[in-house]
Parts: sequence; structure tokens; C-alpha cells
Amino acid sequence: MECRDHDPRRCRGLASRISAYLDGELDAAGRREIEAHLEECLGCACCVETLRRTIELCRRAAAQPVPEEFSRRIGRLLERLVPPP
Amino acid sequence: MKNDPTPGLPAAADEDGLLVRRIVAGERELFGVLAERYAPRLYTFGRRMCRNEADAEDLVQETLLNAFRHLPEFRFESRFKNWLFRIAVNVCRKRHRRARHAPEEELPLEDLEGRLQEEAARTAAVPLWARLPLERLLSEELVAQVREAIWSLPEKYRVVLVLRDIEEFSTEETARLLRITPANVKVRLHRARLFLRERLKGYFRHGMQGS
Repeated sequence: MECRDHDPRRCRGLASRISAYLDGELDAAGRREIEAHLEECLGCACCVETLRRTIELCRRAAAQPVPEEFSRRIGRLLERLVPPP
Repeated sequence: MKNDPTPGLPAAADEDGLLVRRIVAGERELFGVLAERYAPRLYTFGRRMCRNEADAEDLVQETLLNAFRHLPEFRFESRFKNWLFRIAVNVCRKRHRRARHAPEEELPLEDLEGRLQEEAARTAAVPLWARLPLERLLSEELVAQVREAIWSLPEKYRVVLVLRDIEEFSTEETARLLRITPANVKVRLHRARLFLRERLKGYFRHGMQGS
């Protein structure tokens, strides 16, 4: 299916600025320009949403609890560094 | 390791400096409090930077050891956390250099952005995987896919992604940690995210009914 509102000439500048937009690093004029474009261009809006979801997934998938055995290893390291009185 | 805060000690991360002053002044046993506070984050950093679990554990251990040895050199010019992660990044780079057999790859931004453009022209609906509530989407398999995708990034992109999107350092903090310019951080982060997005799209297209 083709997005009829997508105009390569108008959309060209967006691809390089999506991350800065999602990170809130654009100035007010740049942000308004992108938001106005996203209102009209479903194709670009889809790209923004998939990139936003990619960042969320990356955050959620990253954390990993410290295994018990490794905690004990760190404990032993600390005891070597600062022997108990 | 305990997770409960120790009574009478500063709990907030921005009060780490007080702990450092006390440790340097002679209360060396308090280093354990800092180590317990940051070991989980260092472990996550290590696991995302090193594919091998033992390497990640060595990275945490070496980072804590170096931090303990060099604590008197901490100048309170940045947050303690930033100083600690600077050490972790250096340990990581040293290990990476030792193990490296091939030069660092570049991620072709033009290709990634070009694919985004093509996709925008063809797309008329946000795919299911970007619309579903995150909790409904997350599964062990997906988590493994995301971690695999992160590992497959070249190191110079991976470290920026991990520091910015996982450890939530700002662009400026990341630039200082890595001694590169903020503009460079932005470009590398954008490329890394576009790369991950491509990988996830492929996973949802072929592995799930999500696209």
C-alpha cells in the first residue's frame, strides 16, 4: 500500500532528525516543523513510531539482574580491598 | 550483596560525593556502599557491551578495583557515576582492543536513512509492534532478540547506544565520557537506533505476526 501524503522532497529532511526530535533536542521551530509534517504524512509518522518503540524496547530489554554468585564474588573482592577489622 | 540503604549514609546518587570524601578521609569500608549502589548498573553495562558473561563480570570487577585505587584522584568535577562509567568505558575499550581482529565497521547512514525513506513511501499504517502496549509485546524471545541486535552493533555505536538509551546519560555527558563531540554522539546514536529498528522490523516480519 502506498502512502499518498508522502512526498520524498518534503520528507527528505526528516530521516536525519527523527532521533533529535524524539530526544527533545530540536529547537521549538524545528519541533513544530516536524510535528506539522507528521500530521500530514502517515509514512513518516509510522517511521517515527517504530523508532520510538525501538528505543523503548532497547531500554526494557537491557537491564539484567546481578547473578547471586557474582554478587558473592564482588563481596569477596571488597573484603580483599578493605579487610574487616 | 545487600540492597537496603545503610542507616546514616547518604542514599541519593548525587550525594555520592559525600561518601567519596569520607572514604578518602579514611573510612575505606564505605567503598562497599558505593560498590553495592553501582554494581547492578555496571553489570547491565557490561552485559550489553560484552557478549560473554564472564567478560562482563570481569569488566565490573576491574572497574570497581580501578575506582577504589584511583578514588583519591576524583576531583568532584563531575558526578561520581560519570567518573565511574568513564573507568568502565576505558576498561571496556582496553579489553576490546586486546580482542580485536578486524577494524571497526561503519554503519552506512545513507543506506539506513534511504531505507527509512523508502519505507515511509510504502507505509500507510503504524505496524502492530509499534502500537501494542509494551507489556503485551515483551517476551523472553523478544528480549533475547533485542540483546542480540545490540551485540551485533559495532563497538563505537554500541557504547553510545548503551550510555544514552540504557544508562540515560545526556548527549553532553556521553560526549565527555567518550571524549568525542556531542554531534558525533548524536550521529552514532541515530545510526545505532536505525540499525536496531531494521533488525526488529525483520524479526517482527519473519518471527511474529506483528508487522
